Amino acid sequence: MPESKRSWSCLLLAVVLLGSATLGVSAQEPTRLEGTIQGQGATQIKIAIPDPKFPPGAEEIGAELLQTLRDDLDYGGYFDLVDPNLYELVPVEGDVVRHEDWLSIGADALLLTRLRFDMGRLDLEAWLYDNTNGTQQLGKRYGGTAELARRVAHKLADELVQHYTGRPGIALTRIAFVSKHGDNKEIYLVDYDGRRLRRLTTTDSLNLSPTWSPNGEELAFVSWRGRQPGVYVMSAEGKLGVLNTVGGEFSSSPGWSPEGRRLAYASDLAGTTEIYVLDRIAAKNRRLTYNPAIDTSPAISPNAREIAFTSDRTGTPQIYVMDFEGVNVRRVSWTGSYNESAVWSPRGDRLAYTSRVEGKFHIVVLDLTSGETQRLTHDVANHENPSWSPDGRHIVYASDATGEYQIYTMRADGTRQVQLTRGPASFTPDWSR
Amino acid sequence: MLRRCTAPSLMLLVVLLLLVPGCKKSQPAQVPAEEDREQATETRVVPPPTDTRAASEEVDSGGFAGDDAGDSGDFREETISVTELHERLGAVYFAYDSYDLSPTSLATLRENAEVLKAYPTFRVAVEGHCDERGTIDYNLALGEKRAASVRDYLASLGVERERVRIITFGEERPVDTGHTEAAWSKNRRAEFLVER
Repeated sequence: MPESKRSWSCLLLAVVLLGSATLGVSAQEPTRLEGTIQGQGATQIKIAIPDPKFPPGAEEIGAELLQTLRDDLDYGGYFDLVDPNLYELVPVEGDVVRHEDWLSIGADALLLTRLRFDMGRLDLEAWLYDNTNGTQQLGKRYGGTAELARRVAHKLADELVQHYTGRPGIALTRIAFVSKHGDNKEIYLVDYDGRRLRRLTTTDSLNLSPTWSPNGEELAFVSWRGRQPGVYVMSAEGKLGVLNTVGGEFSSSPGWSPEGRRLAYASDLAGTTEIYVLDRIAAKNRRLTYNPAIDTSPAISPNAREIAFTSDRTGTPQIYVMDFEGVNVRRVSWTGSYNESAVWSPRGDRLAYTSRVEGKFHIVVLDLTSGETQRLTHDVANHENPSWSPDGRHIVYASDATGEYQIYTMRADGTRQVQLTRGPASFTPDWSR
Repeated sequence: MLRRCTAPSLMLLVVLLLLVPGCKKSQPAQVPAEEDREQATETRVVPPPTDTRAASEEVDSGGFAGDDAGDSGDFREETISVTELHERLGAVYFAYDSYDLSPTSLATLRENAEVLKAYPTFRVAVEGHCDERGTIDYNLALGEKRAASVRDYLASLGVERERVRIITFGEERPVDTGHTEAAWSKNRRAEFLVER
């Protein structure tokens, strides 16, 4: 039995050696991701993350930490995790790191960790190696209480992304949304991976469209807690703040400016729904649209020079872009008879929005440079309210694929759809910056 | 003027106020017949609101305060109950993604306008609703637009805008939670809510 196992392993090793011979070419430039992340099909870092020896009492929490880290890296899309079943092919000899052997199972990079657990405190050390040249790339150490295990994993995952891409990761981001409570809806937060669900409001009224401030400290939202539906703001802990909007009998659709000082929204103060921008510091409002049709769902571009919005001035809701001052209005959506709730990609080169296609609602992305539209969802369900991840590589949205609306994420090309919520019907997700 | 009223006349007024609601309760048919509705309301809305309030203030200060004195303030509006008025204000329905009023809706609103003019002391809220299709955000604006169309038309018929508050609920309050056109057509509506 041991013999046959060994020969099987040898065969496997031979196969992966063959494989790595071709893959090895790209392994010569450790920072190669820089050039490829702009493209569609990215070259991924092939990384192995073996479990460390878990200290007594920390077997479960340690396994969760390591798995969270792997899940984060897998989800982010920059890394290709080497199959853990191959790790046993690399002999362990004390503290010696056998880079050639890791390379032979396809691991260009290797993350080794050491976990200590004492008096309910976790202490994690991590070392990142480039197996192609045997150099240590990174050394990190994190400590915290056991409840912070997932957070520690997210932090380390973001470090790795930052190291290889020079850009911040998204593992510590959160998603705000609303969930049905009878006739009402309350605001909830959940980590981007669907974990740590928590309720933020207990208002017994209708709340919609929570929208993160750029620094992640506040949420603007629409609520019926007053006599009329209006836009409110609260801290991420749920404490209500002050927002000097123009009021009206209805205001909705808050959209933050990139520096967080201004907030675009829609109000019917003038008798028709128009777009306004509030300067929170000056406490001044400015009206931007003057059209008897509906003008709503404003979204300020990442460079704060433009505002995308929806108008039915031609008879159907379509996406328009105007300069921040409200001039130079141009229509940008030209396919379909219902296009709504546009949101800018973090780089400002694309707009994602909800579009009706053959009677169902789908998420589409408009490339503003080429003018081309790409439909991201294709199943028979409805999909609404897209919101970009801060790295622009993912989109969160609501879909009724299970029969009622739930929150999902997908890659910005429409692949890898992941259902985040499973409780009561949930709507209007927004990804923290 | 009123403040100079003599105590006996005030007492008489209070007695009248106490008596009239009592009679009214024995007449369940509070909705006047079509032809004499206007007249009926006019004769019943006595004394005028401001007078009533002034009178009850005087009564309070004059030592006649009691539960009955408080009731006198409601008296002037009791020619029709909120429930009954609500039942007489028909809802109107809309085509998909539209805030145009159909001929049927216009007819309903003309009737509603007559009712509202007959009971000028009541205020109403017009709630604008949508079916579940479309985005939550846009449906809020659409619901507002539907309610605003209703208020605009009522105003053109002589119902003061100040009496009509509008409130949108978008797609948030369906009357029928089904996912068929039959359900959707019931949900695309503007309804009336009576406010005091």
